[in-house]
Amino acid sequence: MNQGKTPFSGSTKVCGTMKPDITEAGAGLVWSEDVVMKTLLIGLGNPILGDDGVGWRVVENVKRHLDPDSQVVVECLSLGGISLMEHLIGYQRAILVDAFISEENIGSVFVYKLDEIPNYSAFHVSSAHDMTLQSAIELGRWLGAVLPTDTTVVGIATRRIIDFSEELSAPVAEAIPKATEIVLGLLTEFALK
Amino acid sequence: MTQRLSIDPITRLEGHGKIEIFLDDKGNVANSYFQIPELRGFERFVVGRPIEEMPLITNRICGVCPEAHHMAASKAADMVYKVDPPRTAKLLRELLYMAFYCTDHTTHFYALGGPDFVMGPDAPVAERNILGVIHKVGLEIGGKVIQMRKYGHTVVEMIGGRKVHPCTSIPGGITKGITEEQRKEIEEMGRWAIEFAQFSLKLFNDIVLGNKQYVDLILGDVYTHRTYSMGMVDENNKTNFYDGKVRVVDPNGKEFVKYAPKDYAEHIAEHVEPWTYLKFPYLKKVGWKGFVDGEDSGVYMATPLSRLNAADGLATPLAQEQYEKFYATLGGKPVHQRLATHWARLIELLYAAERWVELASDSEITSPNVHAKPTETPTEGVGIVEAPRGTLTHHYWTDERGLVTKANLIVGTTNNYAPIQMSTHKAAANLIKEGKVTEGLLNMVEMAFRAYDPCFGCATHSMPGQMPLEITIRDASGNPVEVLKQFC
Repeated sequence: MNQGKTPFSGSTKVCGTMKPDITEAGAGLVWSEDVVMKTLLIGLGNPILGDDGVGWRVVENVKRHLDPDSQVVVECLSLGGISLMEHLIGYQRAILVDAFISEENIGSVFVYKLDEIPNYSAFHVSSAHDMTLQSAIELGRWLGAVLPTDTTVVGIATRRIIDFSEELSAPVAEAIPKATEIVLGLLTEFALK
Repeated sequence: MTQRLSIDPITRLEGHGKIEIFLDDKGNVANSYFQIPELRGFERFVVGRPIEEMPLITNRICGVCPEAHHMAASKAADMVYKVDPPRTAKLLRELLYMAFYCTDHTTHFYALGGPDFVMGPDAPVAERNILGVIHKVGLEIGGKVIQMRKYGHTVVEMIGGRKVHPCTSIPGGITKGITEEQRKEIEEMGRWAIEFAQFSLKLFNDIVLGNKQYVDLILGDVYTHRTYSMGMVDENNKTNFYDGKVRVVDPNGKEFVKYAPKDYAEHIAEHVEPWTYLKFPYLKKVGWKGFVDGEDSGVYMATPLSRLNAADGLATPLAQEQYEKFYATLGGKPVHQRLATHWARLIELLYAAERWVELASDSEITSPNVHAKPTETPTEGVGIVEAPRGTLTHHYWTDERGLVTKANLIVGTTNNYAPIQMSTHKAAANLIKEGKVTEGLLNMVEMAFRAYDPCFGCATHSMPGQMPLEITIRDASGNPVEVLKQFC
């Protein structure tokens, strides 16, 4: 429950300082006690929209290779922006696996740090409904949330994402073993740190 | 000189949209087209699948409001099996839905629509966002926005089984009830939500209504269209998001029709234009007269604003007070100024929060009687709910085994396609004169469609989601002479 200071009392505050007081913000939030020392592995995408479902398929495959006592939490999500950021709260590290719209060969696998991906719309909304993940993470940090310091994105190149289907295209399906191997390698690296 | 402007809000989150604006010889707007290539094949995709899968699979159409699709599909599945869920199941579904509404409306106001007012429509794009709002209003509010969302997600998970993409509604009711302990927690969170909604309305009052420039902007002609208004109402003609009949009032506020969900096809038809894949729903008995206002045009809107217009009031006391203030401030019913939708959305936020507490306080909410077993042969069913961004209709036909043979969905935003087209056209026409593109065109046009909170797509979220909104001005030969981008 909210532990914030005097909610909803007093008049609206206008024109605060440019640099927020994180301590003040953190005092009003609930998630700092939720911090865990685990790695979060997220498959992103829509499982009924063709190649967009590849992220789910990769992390499901990774899960089969994980030790039952693994400290890795695995999730499949169809989210972006603020909602995705909320799922990252409390984790030290995160790996996101997702389809990428790319001119590269379909099925190519890329690995980026989240910071390396352009934040096209800065802090403006990235759609009529949300903001980019990078902006959402910065928002979360402003508000005092504990968010991963290391977020890696594993992308699988495709151009086929607007036809409803539960099937992946052949080159994207063939990329699953390679993407799985890359994710397992990243998890091993994390474990050694 | 003939010019062509192209505003291209491409987004992987919601499909692709593009606004093409054509200027006449004098450089004024002759035509504009808001094009949406529809995602292909969903209604075919579901054919052959069991009807009971629809509440699970349709909530993946859209990552923005899966709860709405879950509810509409569940209600349609009830009708397909001719089964009436127990009262507790209906209460729980509606309770989940109110928590979702609070989450959704909060996000829209603070992150999406609100920055235009809190920061000002002319503020630099780098400041006109939720961080700018937090900077201006105070850091504490950011925490409360996230808190409101967290409470909403928590209730959705308690009742719906998952934080997003709920999975517990099935034909005949719901798969599990809630305990008294959960009920208490839900009620407590709901009381917090009421305070939050009141705070949000006070914020709107202080920052927006207290600023003459903003009030003039809201009441100005640029964002005004006199169309029909649609919204679901209960037996007392009060707004209801989960159940009831669909009521439509004319541009003067007089009831035009009130119909049961199963009769929607008698009243709604869809117009096709050659330049877009998405159809334009209109009132069949008025007819399609083009993208024009007025009583003779079948164009209607289905938004928070239209829901207030279509109802005789709100069924909870605090929200009703705000409803009365809304119309007293804006000059009576109905209100046609589209930017007032942001205010209407906050009033709905308060209603949803109050209703949340009402439902959580109901003596039957913890009853274990949450499912009526379907026994009839499945045939056909329609389910309608009010999604945050418009009336949502699911219609399924099945064979005797319950396998879907045909589906028809009219999603919330689709209802508003014609008015969005009209609003963006009008904004562009007012802002582009004699070939001069007014500074701020991008945002002023964006504001026209942002008021509707439109959603054009699916739950696809592959990285690196982006919306490069661009205006391209082309000369008579089609060559770009100026390109404006919103990125910074």
